[in-house]
Amino acid sequence: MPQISFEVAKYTIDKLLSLLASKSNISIDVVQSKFHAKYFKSYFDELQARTIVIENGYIDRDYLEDYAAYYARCFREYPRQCTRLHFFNKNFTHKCFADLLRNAKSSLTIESLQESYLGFIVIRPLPLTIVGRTCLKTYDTNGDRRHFPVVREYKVNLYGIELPIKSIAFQEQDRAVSACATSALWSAFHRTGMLFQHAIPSPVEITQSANTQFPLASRGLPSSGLNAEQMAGGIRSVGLEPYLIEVSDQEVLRNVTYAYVSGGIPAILVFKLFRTENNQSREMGMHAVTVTGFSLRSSNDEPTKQVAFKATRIDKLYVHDDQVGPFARMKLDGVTLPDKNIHSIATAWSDCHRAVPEFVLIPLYHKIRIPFESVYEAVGIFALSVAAFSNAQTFPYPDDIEWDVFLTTVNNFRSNLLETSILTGDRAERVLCDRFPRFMWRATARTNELPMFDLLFDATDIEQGRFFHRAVEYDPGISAYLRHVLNHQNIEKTIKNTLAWQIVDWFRKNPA
Amino acid sequence: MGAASKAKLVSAKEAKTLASKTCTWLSTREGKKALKTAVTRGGQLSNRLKEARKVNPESLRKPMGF
Repeated sequence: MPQISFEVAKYTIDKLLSLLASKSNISIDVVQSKFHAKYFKSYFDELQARTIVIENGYIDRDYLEDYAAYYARCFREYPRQCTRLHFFNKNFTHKCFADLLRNAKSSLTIESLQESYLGFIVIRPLPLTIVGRTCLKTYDTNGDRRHFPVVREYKVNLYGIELPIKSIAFQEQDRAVSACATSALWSAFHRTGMLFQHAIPSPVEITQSANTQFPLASRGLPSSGLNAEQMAGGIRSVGLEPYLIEVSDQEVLRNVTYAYVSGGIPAILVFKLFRTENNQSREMGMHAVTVTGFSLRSSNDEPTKQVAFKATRIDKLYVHDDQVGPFARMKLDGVTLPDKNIHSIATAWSDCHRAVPEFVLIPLYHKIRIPFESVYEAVGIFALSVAAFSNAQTFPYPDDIEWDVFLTTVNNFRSNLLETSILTGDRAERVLCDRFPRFMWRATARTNELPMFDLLFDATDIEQGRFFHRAVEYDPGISAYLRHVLNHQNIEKTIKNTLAWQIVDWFRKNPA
Repeated sequence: MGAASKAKLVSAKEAKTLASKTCTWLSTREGKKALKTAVTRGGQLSNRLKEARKVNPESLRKPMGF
C-alpha cells in the first residue's frame, strides 16, 4: 500500500486553480470558466488565505456513496479517491509541517494551525463537477451586520491534528447522481441532522429517496433535477416535515427567512433564474440554494414611526449556491427585471444573472407545529396596537419599537438570558427555572436596541389553542404601563377576537 | 439589573401616569379609531403571509435542473 503523501503550497488563486485542474485531471481552461473560480478568488482574498496543505488519496464518504451507486458501474474507470485541500491564513513551509508530524522541533504548533485554519475543499476526480464536500470559515460578522446561524462545528482530522471549524458543508452537484435541489437539501441536512438528530444522507441517497415517492416525475439516475414535491419527499425521508411558503413578495421572503434561519434552521430558496442583456431578460430555469445567513442594514437607516420588524432590515442573503460557492451573496436590491414588472434579487453568478424568488422550503422537526404566520399575526396586531399608543404621544418611550421574531429552543433562550445578563437576581432565577416548551417562537420588543420584554409562544402547541406561553419583562416602567393600558375596556372590545388577545389576556391576568 | 435598566426612562409611577393619559385617549373617538385601524392593519399584514401559503401547484412540479 503506497504511503499517503501530502504537499504544502503557498496560496495564490492561480495555484488553487491549477490544483483543481491537476487533481481532477481536467483542463485549466475548464476550471477557469467556472463561476467557482471567480468566487473562490474573492472568498479566499477576504479570508486572507496564505498556505494550502494538499492531502492526497483522501477518501470522502459522500463521494464514495455516489461512486458506489453510479460511477463504479460506468464503462470508463473513474478514480475512487479524492484530494483534500486545507487552507490556512498563516505562512509555513513543507519542512515546518513535516517537522510537526515527526515530532521534531518546528516553528509550527498544533495550536497555531488550529487558530489559522480556514477550512477545506475536496476535489473529486470527475470530468466537470470537481468541487466536492467543502467546509470553509464564514465571513467575519462585521460588527453585528453579518449573521450565520446555520453553521455547525466540524472536527477535521489532518494526519492526527484536530482542526475544528464552524461551517456548513457545500458541494457542487455532479449532474449524474444529483442536481442543485439535491445539493441544497444535502447542505440543509448537515445542519438539521445535528439539530434534530437524524442521519445525514449522501447526495445519491437523497435523490433516490426523493424519486421513490414520485417515481414518474423524472428519471432517478442520472438525475435531471428534483421538483418541489420530490424535495418535500426527501425531507420526509429523514423524518422532518416540509414547510412551504411562496416568497414572490420580498417582505414575506425577509420575514420568513429571518424567523427560521435566525433559529438555526436552514431555508431552501427556490427561484427562477434570468439572464438580462440589452434591457431584456431571458428565463434560464428553476434553481435551488440553501440560505445559511443574512446581512442586516443598520437600524438607524430608516426611522418608521410605525411597527418595525427586524427582519425587514435584511439586505443580503448568504446562500450555498452549488453553481457558485458557499456563503454566496444574494442582494435584495429591489431591482425589477428590465422588460418585466417583476422584483428580482442579485445573484453571485454575475451582474446580469437575476433571481426571481418563487418559494421557500423549510425542513422542520415534527414537533414544531405552530407556523410563523400565526405568530406573526398575533405579534403584528399587538405591535400595531402598541404603536398606536405611541402615536398618542403618551407612550413611555419616544423611539420606535423594533420587533425581533424568530424560532428558538428552551436551551438557547435560557443560555441567551444568562449570557446577556438582561435579568439578574431573583427574577433571573425565577425565569430560568420556569418550565418552557422545547421549541418556542420568541418576539423581542426593543427600543434603542435595548430589550423591553419578550413574548414567548409555544411552537409545539395547536393553532386552535392558546399558544402564547408567557411574557418575560425586562423593564418595570413598560410593564406597569402595559398592565394599566391593556385593562382598558376598548382594548378588550377591539382585540378580543384576534390572535393577539392571548397576549393581552396574559398581561391582564399576571401581575408584574 | 442588567442592560435593560440603563434604558429605563420612566419610573413605574411615571408609567402609570402616562398609561392613564393613554386610557383617556383610548376612550376618545380618535383613540378608538386608531386602535381599530391598528387591528385591521395587523390582520392585513398576516393575510399576506396566509396568501403566500397557497403555493401554485404548477410551480411545485417544475424541476430544478441546474
